[in-house]
Amino acid sequence: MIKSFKYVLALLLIMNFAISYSKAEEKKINIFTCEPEWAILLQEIVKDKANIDSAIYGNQNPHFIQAKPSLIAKVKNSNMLVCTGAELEIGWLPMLIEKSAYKKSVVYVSNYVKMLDIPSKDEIDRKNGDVHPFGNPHIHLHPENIKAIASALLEKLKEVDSLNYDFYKKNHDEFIKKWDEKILKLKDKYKVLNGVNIVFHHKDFDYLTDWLKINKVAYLEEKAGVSPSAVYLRSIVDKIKNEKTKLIIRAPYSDKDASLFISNKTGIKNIVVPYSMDYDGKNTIFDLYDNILNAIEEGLK
Amino acid sequence: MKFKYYVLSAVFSSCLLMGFEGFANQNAFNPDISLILNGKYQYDNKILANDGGNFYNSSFLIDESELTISSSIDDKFNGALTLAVMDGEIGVEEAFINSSLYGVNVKVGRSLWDIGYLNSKHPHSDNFATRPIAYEFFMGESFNGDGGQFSYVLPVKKYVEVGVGVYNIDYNSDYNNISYSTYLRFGEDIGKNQDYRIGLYLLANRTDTKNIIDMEMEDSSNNLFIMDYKYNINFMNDSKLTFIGEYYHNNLAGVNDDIENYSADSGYYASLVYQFNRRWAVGGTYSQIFSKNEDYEKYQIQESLLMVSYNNSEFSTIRLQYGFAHNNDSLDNYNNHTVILHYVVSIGAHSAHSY
Repeated sequence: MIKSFKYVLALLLIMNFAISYSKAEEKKINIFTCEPEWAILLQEIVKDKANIDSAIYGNQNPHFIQAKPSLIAKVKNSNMLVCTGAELEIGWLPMLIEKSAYKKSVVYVSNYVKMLDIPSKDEIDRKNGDVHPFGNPHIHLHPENIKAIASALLEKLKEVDSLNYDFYKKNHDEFIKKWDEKILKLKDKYKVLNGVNIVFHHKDFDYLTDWLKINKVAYLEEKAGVSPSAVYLRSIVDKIKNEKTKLIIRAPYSDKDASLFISNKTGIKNIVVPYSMDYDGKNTIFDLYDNILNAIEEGLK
Repeated sequence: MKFKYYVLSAVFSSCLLMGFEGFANQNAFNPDISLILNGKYQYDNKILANDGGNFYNSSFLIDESELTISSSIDDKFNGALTLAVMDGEIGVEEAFINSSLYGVNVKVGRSLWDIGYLNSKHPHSDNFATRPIAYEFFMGESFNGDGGQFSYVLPVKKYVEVGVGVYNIDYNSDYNNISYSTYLRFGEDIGKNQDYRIGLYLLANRTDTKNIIDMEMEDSSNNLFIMDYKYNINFMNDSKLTFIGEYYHNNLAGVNDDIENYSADSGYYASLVYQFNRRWAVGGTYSQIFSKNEDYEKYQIQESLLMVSYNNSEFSTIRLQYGFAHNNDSLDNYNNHTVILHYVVSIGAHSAHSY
C-alpha cells in the first residue's frame, strides 16, 4: 500500500510541475487543425498572432489517421479545433476529443460549403463501400469553398480571440481580394482542362474537376475506400481506351498498383498529384493550387 | 434460463431494428450501434511429454458475438453497453457512463480498464486471433471489474497521461476484495512518420478475510506491475510497421504468512506486425512466462504466433494464424500446435482507430 502511495505522490509532483510549466507559456491562442490545408488557410488570417498546428502532414490519407499520443496532447492544448467534418475524421477525431477531455470550440468547415455527391437514402449502405452520408469530404480543392471557409473561420476567431479580431478581419479581407484575383487567373490559365478526359483513383479530386469542368472517365476504386479488384480494373480498360483518356491521376497516399495496371494495359500516362501540403509556415494555399494544377498540366504534355 | 435468453434476444433484436429504422428516418438521437461477428476453424495438437499423450482437436465454432450501443446521454454524460453473446449466455463485457470534469475523464461502471496495452482493447480489434499467453496468464480473459477510473492528460506540450482507479472483481459479501490501479503514460512523435507510447501500470489487489472463519481463505495481497510499449513507423500508401510489447511482474503474498508463501511470476510478449497496404498484413508474437508450480518448482512457457491477415475493407478481416507453445513444467510438460482460420467483421457504427 505504501508503495502505491509513493507512486501516486510522484505522479502528483509531476502534475504540479507540469501545470506550473504550462502557465509560464505565452498567451497566444493555439489553433489545431485536422488537415494541413486549414492550417495554411488560417495562416493567411492569423499571421503571427496565434500558434497553428496540424494533425496531418501534407500527403497522409485523412481517412486513416490513428489517435496517436502527440495528437491527444495537441488537442488538449488548443483553444480552437478546425476540422473538415462530414465524417472525414470519424475514425480518429472523436477519440482525440474524448481522451483529451476537450470542450472548447470545434469548427467543422464542411458545414459552410455546398457538398458534392450527397448519397440518397438507398445508397447509404456499406455494400457501396465507404459511403459518406453527408457528401464528399475532400472539399478544399474548390476555390469558392476556400472563400466560404475563410469567412467562417474569421467569425469563429471573433469568438475565440476577440482582442485580435480587427487584425484578423484586415488580413481576411486582403486574402479574399488576392484569392479572387487568383481564381480568375487560374481559371483562365487552365481553361484547356475543360472537358479533358481523366481517370482518378479515388474521389479526392472531385471538387477540382467540378470547378474546372474536367471530365472524369472512371474511378479506379469501384467502391470508395475499398481497394480496387483486378476483375473490376480489367472491366474498365476498354472504356478508358475508348473515351480517349489523357491521364490517370492518384493522390500520393493512394496505392500505385491500380494506376500502373491500367497504365500498362492502355498506354495512358499515370501521375501522382499533390493533395495537400505540409503546414510549415512557408507553404500557402496559393502554392497548393499552383502545385496541383502544374502537376496536371505537366502530366498532359 | 432458455426462456430468459429468448426474451433478451427478442429485446435486443427489436432494439437493433428500431435503431436501423431510426437511421432511415434520419432520427439523429439514436445511439450508435455496432455488432461484431466472428467465427473460426481451429485445429489443436497437444503432445504431453510425460506420458506421451497426443491429442487432436479440430473444430468449427463461432466466438462471442458482440453488441455495443453507445451514445451521449446529455450535455455531461456518455454511456455505452457492450454485450458478449454466446450460446444461452449473455455477458456484460462493458456497461459504463463517462464524463469529464475540469479536464479529468471519469468513467464509472464496468469497462475494459486502462491497465497495460491490450486490456483496454476489444479482442476483435487485435492483430492476432488469440491473445499472447503472457496476457492470459496475468490478466485472464480481461480485467473488467466493476468500479471507476479517473484519467487526465496533462496540459503540456508532450503527451503525458495519468490515471487511478478502484475496482471490485470478485464480489462476495463474506470478504472484501478490492483492486487499485494507477498508471503513467508518455508518448511522442519521432520525426514525421514514427511515434511511440510507453506506459507504467500498477494493479494492486487486496483480499481481507476478517469477516469469515473459513480456514481455507487467508488475507492476500497481490501487486501486478506492467510496462507497455508501442511503436509505429508509417510508410506511404497506408503501409506501416508496428511493435507492441508488454512486460508483467506479479508479486503474490499471503499477508498473514511468512516468506514461504511468497511467490513472484513474470512474463512478457513482443509482437511485430507489418502492414503492406490496407489489405494485407503479416505478423509474429513471441511470449514467455516464468512461474512456479504447486511443488514450488520453476517452469517456463514459451509461445510463438505467426499470422497473415486480409482486410477487404475497414469492416472485415480474415486471418490465418499458426501458434506453437511449449511448457517445461515437470507436472504439465507439453507441446501445443494450433492453427486458426477466422473472420471478424463489424456492422454498424464506424469503429475508432484507437492507438
